[in-house]
Amino acid sequence: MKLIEVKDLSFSYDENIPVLSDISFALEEGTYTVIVGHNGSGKSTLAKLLAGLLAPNKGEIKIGGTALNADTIESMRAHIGIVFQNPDNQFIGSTVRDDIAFGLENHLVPSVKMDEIINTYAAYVSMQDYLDKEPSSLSGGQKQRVAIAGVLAMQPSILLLDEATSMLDPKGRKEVGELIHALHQKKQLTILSITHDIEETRFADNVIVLNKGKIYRFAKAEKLFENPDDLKNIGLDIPYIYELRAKYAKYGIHLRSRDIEGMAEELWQLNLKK
Amino acid sequence: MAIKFKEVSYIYAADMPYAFKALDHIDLEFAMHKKTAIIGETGSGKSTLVQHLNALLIPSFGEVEVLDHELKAGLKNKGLKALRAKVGLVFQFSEYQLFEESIIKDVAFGPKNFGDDEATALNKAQKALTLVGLDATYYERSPLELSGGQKRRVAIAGILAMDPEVIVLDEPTAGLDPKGTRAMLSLFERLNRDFDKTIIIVTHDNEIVYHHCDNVVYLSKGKVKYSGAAKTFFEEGIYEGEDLLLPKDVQFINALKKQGFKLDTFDLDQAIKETAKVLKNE
Amino acid sequence: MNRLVFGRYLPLDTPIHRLDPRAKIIAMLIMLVAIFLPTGYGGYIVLGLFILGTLLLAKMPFKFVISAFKPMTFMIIFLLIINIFSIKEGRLLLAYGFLEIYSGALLQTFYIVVRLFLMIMVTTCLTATTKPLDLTLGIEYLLKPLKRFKVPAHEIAMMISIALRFIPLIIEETMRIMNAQKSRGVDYEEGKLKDKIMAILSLIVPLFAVAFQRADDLANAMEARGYIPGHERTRYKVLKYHSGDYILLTIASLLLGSMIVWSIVL
Repeated sequence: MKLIEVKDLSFSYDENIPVLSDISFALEEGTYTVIVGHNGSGKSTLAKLLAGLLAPNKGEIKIGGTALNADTIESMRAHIGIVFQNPDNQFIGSTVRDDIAFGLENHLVPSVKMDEIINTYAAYVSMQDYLDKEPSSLSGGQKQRVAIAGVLAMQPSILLLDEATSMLDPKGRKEVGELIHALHQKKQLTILSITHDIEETRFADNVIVLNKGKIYRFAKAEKLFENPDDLKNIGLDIPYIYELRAKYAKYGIHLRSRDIEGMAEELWQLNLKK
Repeated sequence: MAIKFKEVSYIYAADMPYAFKALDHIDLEFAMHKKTAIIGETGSGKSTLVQHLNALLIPSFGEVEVLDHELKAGLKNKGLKALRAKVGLVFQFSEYQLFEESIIKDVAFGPKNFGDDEATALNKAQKALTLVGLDATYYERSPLELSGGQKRRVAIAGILAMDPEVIVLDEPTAGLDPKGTRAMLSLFERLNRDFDKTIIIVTHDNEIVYHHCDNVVYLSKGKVKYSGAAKTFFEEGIYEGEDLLLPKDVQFINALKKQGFKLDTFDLDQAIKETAKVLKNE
Repeated sequence: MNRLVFGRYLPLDTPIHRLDPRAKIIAMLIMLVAIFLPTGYGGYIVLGLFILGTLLLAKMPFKFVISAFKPMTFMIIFLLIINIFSIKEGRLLLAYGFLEIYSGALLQTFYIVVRLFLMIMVTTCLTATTKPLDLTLGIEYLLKPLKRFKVPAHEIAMMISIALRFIPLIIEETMRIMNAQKSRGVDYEEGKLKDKIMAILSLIVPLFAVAFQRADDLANAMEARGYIPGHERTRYKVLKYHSGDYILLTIASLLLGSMIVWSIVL
């Protein structure tokens, strides 16, 4: 089922400078899609449009078959969860508890049910021991995990991540990355991650490459990097493992591993077989 | 002219119950005219260390020698302001420090604070902006119009305009996309190679440390655990198992060696060439 | 570094701390009215005893309560000086040249100071035993009846609680921006007026810029999580009166009642 359908989407803040032009794509339920592109390629704007925070100038977005517009957005809000880049600027509550409760309060969840939901989702993101902590005593990675808990507590069908790890240190990025990976494994969410970290594409089902407000490529990760110059031409990197593949390909050696350890092993096996 | 830390300790809120020792008996020397990275977990003392370099902080114990200044606890440290023109410190997310109505004015702010007249300051500002890749069309624009990456370049220009001998940057590539990161790194290369500046970078990105820095200082819980050549630090696996993400080239070559390939180089292209040769029985 | 004892709240666990913030706010207001009734020193002693008792129950350290008066010392000295020059009643205590200190002046000052002290102690009772957020919640509940007059009680309370949550961060950002500008040669302590103005601008403009960005981001985050100002919401924290609250309110009302009677009888 195509959960997210985008057709001819265009947006600009100022008439003369289009931020997004004629964006069209469709994503299946339960998939993990990564959207990459330079800063300024329109990535964040696309996220805000998909979350219903901005209205397009042209085109339409359909979630689960229903068009997203001013009339439907209120009822669709709970289905689309979005986590933003700045861990502090989306932490509304005074404690972890209060922050997770915020979304529940907005969706008229009865007070008596809240504690159980809060405890469940805090545990989900491994923050159950921090429920009464204030944001000023949490790391960036911890705050982002709380943000994810707050969003998941509303049981959305889509999780949008707008550069959710770019302000984090490596530890935080790892924590959040692992969490997303676990969510993907459970296959209950359709995940869209906007990032400029090309390494993230290795774990995705689909990759959308945005360039100057348009879709440059939409492909499965494996296919996308078959031709490295394709991305290098627009100034983007390719994941390290594909760099290695390309370098070995020049020697006529074609490898298939997706990670460093695996590739070393593959090479050794080839050595033994020769 | 040197940058030396001698038995330096720094304690935040020393008289309070929640006093915190951020630096613990640091003995360190930074090589002049080289590029040095400072790495360590969040909370290891990197920011505290770096704020001693331009006397924003004075040691609680010990002594810091920066160029021709000496910083010591308890002494009435005079002339510290002069040090700040010689050691330029660029904070993390420096784009937030811009405040003037025009870019050229903001960049000229630093030189003016150190006594330059309007004309001299503007001249220095123009040179600095050119260094960071912003041409004359940007001079009269408002800083608020720019993208985050461009604003950061303006902030760095603001420090370069003071023509410091030492440039210290705290996470200069945080949040930048690959293109922005590359531009930033080539700027540092130029400053070091063409202008002989001493560059000190606090970073979490070990790829930058390995590929672009001469030396590395590894801090952990306020102590210096290593200070020396960057390549050696990673290639000799000095701190195995310490949550340190090795540069990918090193990871790959280590993996190849572990499998059984005989390699004595850490140059990726060379290693690939040699393993390919082996596979082809040459 | 984030262990600020903010707004003079002391995190202890006492019966007073556990009282409903609404009860404490109402009791405080009642007491403030009682303090201003003209009951004379007798009344003040009774009120003072009650307040001291509350402070004791709340395990308030002596030093802490005294420190609440510090900001007032200057004002009290000023008041004393004015009274010395303007009140010439009672016995002449001291004459030195044109300076004549009458007992009336001292007594009048003392009278005002006593009431001031009582007021400060009562408000300390409230702020030291109630978390800023609970205080906000209490105020929100109490303002709810004003909804019919279009007072957006909940939105005000939400704004206050968000502002409170960001105070540690704003303090951190202020320090960071100051450090960044100091690194460019700004001197926040000395300098000509023109330089001082630039110094302040170099701090305020970035702080505001960050604040505006934050407001924008927060608004997006709140909207994305379903917040619509003015719309009905359920609440995670619900305030409930308990027996202790009723006892407090009863005692406070009785005190007020007796002070009213006392002041009429006198």
